[in-house]
Amino acid sequence: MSNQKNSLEISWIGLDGFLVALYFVLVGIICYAIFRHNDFIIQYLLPYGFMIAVTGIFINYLSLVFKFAKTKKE
Amino acid sequence: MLLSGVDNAVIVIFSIFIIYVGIHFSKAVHDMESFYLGNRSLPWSLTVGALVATWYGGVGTIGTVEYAAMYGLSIWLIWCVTAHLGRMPLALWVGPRISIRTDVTVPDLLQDIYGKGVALIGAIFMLVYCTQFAQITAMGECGIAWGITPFEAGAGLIVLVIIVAVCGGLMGVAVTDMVLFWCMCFGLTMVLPTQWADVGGWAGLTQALGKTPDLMDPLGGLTFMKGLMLVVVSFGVYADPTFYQRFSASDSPKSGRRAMLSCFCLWICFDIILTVTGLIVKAKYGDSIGPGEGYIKLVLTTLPVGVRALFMIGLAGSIISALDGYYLSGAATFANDIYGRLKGNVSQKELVLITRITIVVLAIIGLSVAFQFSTAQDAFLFIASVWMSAGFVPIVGGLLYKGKKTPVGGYLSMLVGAGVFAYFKYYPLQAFDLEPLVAALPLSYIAWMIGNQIGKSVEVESIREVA
Repeated sequence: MSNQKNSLEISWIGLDGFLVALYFVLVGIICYAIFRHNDFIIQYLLPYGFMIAVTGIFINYLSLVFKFAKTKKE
Repeated sequence: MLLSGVDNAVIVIFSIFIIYVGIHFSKAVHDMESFYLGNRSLPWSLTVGALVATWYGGVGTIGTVEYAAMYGLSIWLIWCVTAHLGRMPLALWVGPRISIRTDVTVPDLLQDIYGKGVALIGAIFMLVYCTQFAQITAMGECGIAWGITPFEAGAGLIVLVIIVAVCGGLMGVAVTDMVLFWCMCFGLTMVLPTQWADVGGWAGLTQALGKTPDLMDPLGGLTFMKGLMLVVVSFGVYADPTFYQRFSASDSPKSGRRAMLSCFCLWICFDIILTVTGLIVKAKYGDSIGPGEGYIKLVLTTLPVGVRALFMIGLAGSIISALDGYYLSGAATFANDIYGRLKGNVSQKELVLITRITIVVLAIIGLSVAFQFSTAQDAFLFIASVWMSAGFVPIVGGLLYKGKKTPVGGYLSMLVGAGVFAYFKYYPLQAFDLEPLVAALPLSYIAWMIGNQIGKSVEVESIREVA
């Protein structure tokens, strides 16, 4: 029960809070690019940043799969 | 044909991989929980991949490009930003609460709150929603790549969809989702840097779209009613069956919450990438070609051989992921909530079999309706509006409202919502522009409030029975 309650708690000064803040920061950066017509953000920062982020998540998943396979073998 | 032999060879190899994954995971399926919820074992990264791939699909990708070409930058600022912001409470409070409930599907939830009858009607509406024919409409746009008709492209796609969903269940879908998630995000984004330079950046875009300046205005382009309708539809995720399924399948509520918060950050970036790509399509082709087809043409005529295959895999992959997710939810709904409730005492093996058969039926229905709509987004808005009109108030109200909820409240909100939507859809007001969904939701809410004053609460009765 306490595990369940702990799992429902939001850590505002932790990863949850960071991800919420990150959303607003990203919206701010994109709004800046739109209203100030900034080419660098649209042409480089956003697409390359996004591609790096999704590749990172994909690698994180692959590392979990390999770790799981290794543990199973042992 | 815009694709070369090498491109097609890469696509065929990838398709074989998808089929292999589906067949591989079919061996691990023993009961409904392993088939539908992947044994509630999805880690953060897999939940992110599954959520992004399922929700975006062909509508979120081709559909956003189409709407950006039609309505401009306001699509991002008015629609996308507001939509994700409105979903924050879902990630922070609603989703984690759902994942610790024992209900497997949305109708399970409706039964617990309003009783069997409301759950049955909800299951029927949800089944219709899960046909998700808009995804197949989007795939039709991709037919231009092979020089085939939209119907042929759609038919080819659903064969793959059926193999993955029928064989592997959620685990098979989630694992392929992860690969398709990467292909989709990477493949669709990599075209932007070159295209942006090619069109001449903001200055070139503003000049090329000089005749339609509204498209470059972040607060223009959309009419008030259209903007309001898009924002309202985006809240549909609160009643989206695949969301509940993915969230419940994550390995803990915390992991599900963080996966979804991560998704918001990814989506808001992906949205602007697709929006500006839509503007580039409009600047390059104007009205000479449909924006969906223009997008495919733009990309395939500029990317090098082999890389084009990655783009097509990403695009078709996003559609496969979304359809797999919805067919799985719809079919599980039929097996559990319609067949299971009507027949009673059904074995796990029989439930899995019925789910698999229903996946095939949903795919055939989707294919037969998909090409009645001109754009993927229009097709999606129609089906999402039907589901939201009937299901949004009873589901969200049932989850968030702590007061008395009765079967009459459930029945009234569903029937009034669906009835008002159908009336204004087929008899639109002449005096002013009114989207049927915008009228249906408040009236459904009023009916729900009134209905909840009539009769006894199912939840209170069940607690009394247990006591």
